[in-house]
Amino acid sequence: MTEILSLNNVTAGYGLITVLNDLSISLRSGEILAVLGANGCGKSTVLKTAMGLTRVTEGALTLEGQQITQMPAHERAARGLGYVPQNRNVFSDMTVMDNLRMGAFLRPKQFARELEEVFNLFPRIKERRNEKAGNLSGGERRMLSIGLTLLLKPKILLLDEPSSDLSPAMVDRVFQSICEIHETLSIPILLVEQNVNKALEISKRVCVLVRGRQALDAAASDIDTKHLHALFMDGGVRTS
Amino acid sequence: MIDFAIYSVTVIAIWSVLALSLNLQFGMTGLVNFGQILPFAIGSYAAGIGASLGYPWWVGATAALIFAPLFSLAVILPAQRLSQDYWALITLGAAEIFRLTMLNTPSFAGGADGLNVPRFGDSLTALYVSLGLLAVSFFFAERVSRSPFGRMLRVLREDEVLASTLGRNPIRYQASISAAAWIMAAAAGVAYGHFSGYVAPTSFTVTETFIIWTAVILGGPGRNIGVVCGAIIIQLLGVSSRFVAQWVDLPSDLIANLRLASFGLILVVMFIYRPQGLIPEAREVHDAERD
Repeated sequence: MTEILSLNNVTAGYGLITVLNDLSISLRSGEILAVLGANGCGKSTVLKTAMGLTRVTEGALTLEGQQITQMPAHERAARGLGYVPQNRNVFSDMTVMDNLRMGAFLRPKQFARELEEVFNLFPRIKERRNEKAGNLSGGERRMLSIGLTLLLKPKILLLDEPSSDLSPAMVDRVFQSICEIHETLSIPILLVEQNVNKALEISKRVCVLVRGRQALDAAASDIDTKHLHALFMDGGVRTS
Repeated sequence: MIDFAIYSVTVIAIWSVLALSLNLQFGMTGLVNFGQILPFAIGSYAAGIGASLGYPWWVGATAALIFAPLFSLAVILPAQRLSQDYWALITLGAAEIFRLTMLNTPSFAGGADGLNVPRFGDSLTALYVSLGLLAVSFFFAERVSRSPFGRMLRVLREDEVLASTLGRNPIRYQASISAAAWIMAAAAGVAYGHFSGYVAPTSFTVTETFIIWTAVILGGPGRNIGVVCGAIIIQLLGVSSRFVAQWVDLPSDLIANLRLASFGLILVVMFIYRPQGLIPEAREVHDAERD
């Protein structure tokens, strides 16, 4: 499998604060790579760095072999990076339909057809298409956020804690949708997740971060949750 | 009395254009511009310098409309990676730098003495020009507000980062609307220069920016008709303070300071009790019928 997105020896952070230290992670085509770690270890920063939302002081990022280290976020989106943030992931004052139109900005002609694909994936979103996004439940917002990102026709999905603040039933539904997207659209996914069991269930490979550094990179099937606990004695990893 | 009414309406029209200009930037786009007086000063000084060099009025006006958007880009582009707080400080600093430059270049811009600008033929001409400018500015601002471009500006105001991750280039939108808004304010500056017949650094202080902000906050950020109403109320308060000075035995300096204090009070009251302004922006739920 070829590497589609790579962070090579990246040191990055916000302002004067460094969060990622000399980190190297690669996402390969056709896989779901889960990034795990305790709270504050820099998981979300990996995705923000991939999307161009942090300050990279060292190292390089490549997308399909092309340098994107200094590329602004909107150009990365145009090149195929689809980012679903954990919070503030929809435009609350706009309707569901208008949110989806935002996702279709780069490809307006295909909107009608691709909208149906999103509605097929998330029927609940179709039902609530004329409501304000701010009135949706947490799970519905997450679905809308994934849906509008899919309208960008991304080559890669960057998912930031899709299970956070959701009920167990909703977590199951969201993860089921993620698997469906991965299988039917063949999109590689870089997944940041707190729910270790769920992440291990759907991912092929796992990367564990400790204080912004890579502590483990292994196949998901080889991961022993006791080993994970040992890695994160300071807590923050939910395994059940 | 008629002359006073014509004078007042002319002033109101010019300040309404300034309020509309700030509304395009702050109300619709969320750009905090604390140097809104800068494009206005550019317009006035272009009129004054053009006249002092012996050029006809339209040369100064054209120069204003060219230089104002260029200045806006010079201010906004270096600030593109900074947060809105810094953007506010940069615009504030740019306006002060311009004012101090004019103050310290007497051979070019008249220094503290300022420059004479040929007045409009009569007060009615000034009135018609100012009202015409207001009408054009209002029409333009409304068109922007109702267009897909205007919707995109509001999206950026709501969440610039999310918009950029969806493939939108925030700087392109912000630079475009700033350039348009600064042209509008510069045109108001040209009209003001020819209306007052004089430009000097004292007319373009931070206080003037503060007055424009008061009009926008009072009227309703994001709503064109609201900010025009805000400008009308603020300017009526301003001109009516002259009558207050006649009724009460207070020094004119004190009256002027009380007027500014009243604007400050208006800001505080609005922020606490009605932050959406007197005529709030319609929080429309788009396209419910269309879909």
